[in-house]
Amino acid sequence: MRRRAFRFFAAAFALAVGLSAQDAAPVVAIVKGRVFPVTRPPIDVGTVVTRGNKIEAVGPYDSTPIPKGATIVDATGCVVVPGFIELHNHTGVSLSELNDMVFQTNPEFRVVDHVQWKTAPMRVAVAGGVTTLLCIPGSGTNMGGFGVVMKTWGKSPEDVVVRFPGALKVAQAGNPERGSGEVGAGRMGMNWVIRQTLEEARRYHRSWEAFERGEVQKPPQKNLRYEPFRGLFRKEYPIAVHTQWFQVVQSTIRILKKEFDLDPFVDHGEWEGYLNAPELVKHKIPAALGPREYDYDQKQAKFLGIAASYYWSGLSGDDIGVNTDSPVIPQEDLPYQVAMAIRLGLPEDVALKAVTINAARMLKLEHRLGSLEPGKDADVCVWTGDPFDPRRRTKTVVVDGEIAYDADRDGVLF
Amino acid sequence: MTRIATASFSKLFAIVALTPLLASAGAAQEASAKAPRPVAYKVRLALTVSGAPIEGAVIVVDGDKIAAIGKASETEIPFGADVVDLGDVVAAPGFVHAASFAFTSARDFDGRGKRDGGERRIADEIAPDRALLDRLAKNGFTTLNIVPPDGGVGGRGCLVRPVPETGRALRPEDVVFERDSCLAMAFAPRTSTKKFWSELLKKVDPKEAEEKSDGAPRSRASSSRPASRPSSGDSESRPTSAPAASKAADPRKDPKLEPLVDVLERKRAGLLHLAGPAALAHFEAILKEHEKFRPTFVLPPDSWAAVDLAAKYAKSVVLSTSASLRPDTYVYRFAPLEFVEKGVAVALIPETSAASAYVDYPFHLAEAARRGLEVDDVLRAATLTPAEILGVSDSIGSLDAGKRADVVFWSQHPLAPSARVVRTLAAGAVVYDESKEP
Repeated sequence: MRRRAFRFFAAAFALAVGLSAQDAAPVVAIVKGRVFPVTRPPIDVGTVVTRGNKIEAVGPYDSTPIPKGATIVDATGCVVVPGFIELHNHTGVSLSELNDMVFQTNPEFRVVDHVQWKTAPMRVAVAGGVTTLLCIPGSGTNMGGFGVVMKTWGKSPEDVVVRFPGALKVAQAGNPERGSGEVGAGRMGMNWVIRQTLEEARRYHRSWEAFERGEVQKPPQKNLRYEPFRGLFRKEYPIAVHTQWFQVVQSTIRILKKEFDLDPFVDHGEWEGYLNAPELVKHKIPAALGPREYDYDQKQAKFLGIAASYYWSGLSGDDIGVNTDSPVIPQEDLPYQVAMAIRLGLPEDVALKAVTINAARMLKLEHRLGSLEPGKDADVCVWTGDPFDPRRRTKTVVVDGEIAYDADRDGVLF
Repeated sequence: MTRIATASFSKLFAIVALTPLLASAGAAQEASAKAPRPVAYKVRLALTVSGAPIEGAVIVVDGDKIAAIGKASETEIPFGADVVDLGDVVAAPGFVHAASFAFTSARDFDGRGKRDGGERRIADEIAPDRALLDRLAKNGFTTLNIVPPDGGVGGRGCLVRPVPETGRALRPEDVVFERDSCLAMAFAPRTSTKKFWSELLKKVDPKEAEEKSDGAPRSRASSSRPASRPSSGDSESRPTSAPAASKAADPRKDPKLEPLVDVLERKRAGLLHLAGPAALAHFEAILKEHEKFRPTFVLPPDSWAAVDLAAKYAKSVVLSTSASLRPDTYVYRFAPLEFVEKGVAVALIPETSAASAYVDYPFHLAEAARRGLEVDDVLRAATLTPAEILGVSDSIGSLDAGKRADVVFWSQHPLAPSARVVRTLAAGAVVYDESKEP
């Protein structure tokens, strides 16, 4: 009897705790701002309500109820946009841990094991309105390892991880080029090792598929080096390809897309890579551009905006992203990379998509990130004006439903 | 009008040669080129910088000057003037670069060196280049003060402006409109450079040196000199400092020292590049010694660390648009803001002397506004303040009647993120026109 009473009491207590925990989920209502949901038309005077780590409601201020007990963020005269997404970044790891250059390709390395997020640059990144990063290994070798998609703010190392693997980092030229006389001295050698590694990974993936279909009785031996490639071949996550020049974009299209049917996106896009835009369109490959936002074209004797050149060469406005390669460009300068892209000819409506929904789509996370819609992650930024106007700054930044930065509370950080 | 005036001669010649009808038109153009008619530019907004912005403004340009500026409804357009309605554009004065190394061989320098270049004129050394000149015009610059990049007394700067295509290689005299704009100096701390500066200033400012020191070493020095050296004229011009004057030659008569005397007497702009906060700390002893020597400091981004010291000795400073991080932290400090808060006039210049720096200059000016400066102050720091520092604010730096017609027409407010330059006038001539771009 006594025992039963105890059981009942314990169950009731657990229920109460559970309920109160649900109630305790933070509710934030950002009111009266000009809201840009990105995937829908702007709302002149709008409200965004977040509960827990998800967005609960987005709508006009007049018709969207504000839950009782919500923390109110007054965004009068401000612009409310989704948190920005960085597609090529090293802020989440210390620079000394960026490159393990053991072999020519090192897909076995994982950034996720040593992410750091409670750092000063990360705090300023949040203040700059950047809430999600694709943190990838360096381009010291042709495959640096698997990167992680992470938030810039969170409570624990697990809390900040959005998805691992985020993307495979491939670098087909430039930084991984070695001295002469060895494989990898030039682009032919580098492309050979990339092909060879991918070929082995595909063989591994196919042998497991055969086992899973029941065609083979004995399971293949697990191989940690090739295991993350399985999701890559299933197209669960993309390849971030560090490109710079025309030829590199060309080999991205030929090797990664045409030969191996993977989902690469052009990352760190620079120089005259835009000349490949028609081929990129044909193969549905998006491009993230930066850290260099302009190039001096000697033939035309004028400055070209790199993002603008990709756009005006035919790449869809839905397939353009912008990146900083932080710390090459400080992470908080992502909006100003975009501002430069605009100044040099990228249309403004494309610009907002570039660091929100387009970036989310490139990461295959558009169901969670990149726009202000109910059910998506509660990453919301309140700007004092147009986020791509260098005269403006953030007022409040909400990451996973909590106020990660507030200019009045924390001071203006940049 | 000015476009016709500057149309390439070969084009005119071709027109003349083609048909008699066109030939007469060509002749008319040529005639008008000699006495260009005034042009009235109508704009949505004119940011005068010297006064309040004017909505719906008209700017009358006659020759190389602004003849009139005001509201379109209140401003008389002279008879026979061409009216150019630019529509939805914003007019602003052209940017003035207070300390540029453009067209010199230097990129950056560290301020070391003990050059005694008072006679040197950088106007005799520059190699103007068309591509850079056009880039300046395209990005809103109408005046550059080119300074000799050398430690010590580098030499005399010159003022340069963009000019329309001449159809031949540019010559320095095409672009230089003031051959002697300022005296450029630089200091980086060394035992030898300190000695150099101390000795140099004693030559031009002996009186204060005499009063500060107890006089004993000076009298010994003068006794060792030949008695015939000082002239009677000297002692008359400096009756209060007979011992010093009797020993030193008049520095005004030495062409190397003369510009430095001008700087001391506030007759000439003096720009002193200081390599950093430490350089200023080391230079302070010299500044204390010579109360008349108060040049404008040209300082690097980390000079926020010496803002109190600099504010004590300089009424104006030249700073780049860069912010800098406090060492070992991720805390940004923005020197221009800190100087403005101390009441020091700030002229802003691009981040580096690299040609590409001009492309994103308006963008970095906008960032300066985010970092805390008022938008109007930012615009002033890029136009009128540098003109004041160089002592040419009566002719450039703002949109006012009587000033030189250095006008930049922007598609939006110049600090707006997607603002483009639509047209640039330098001394009334069209030096950039977006519609004529390939």
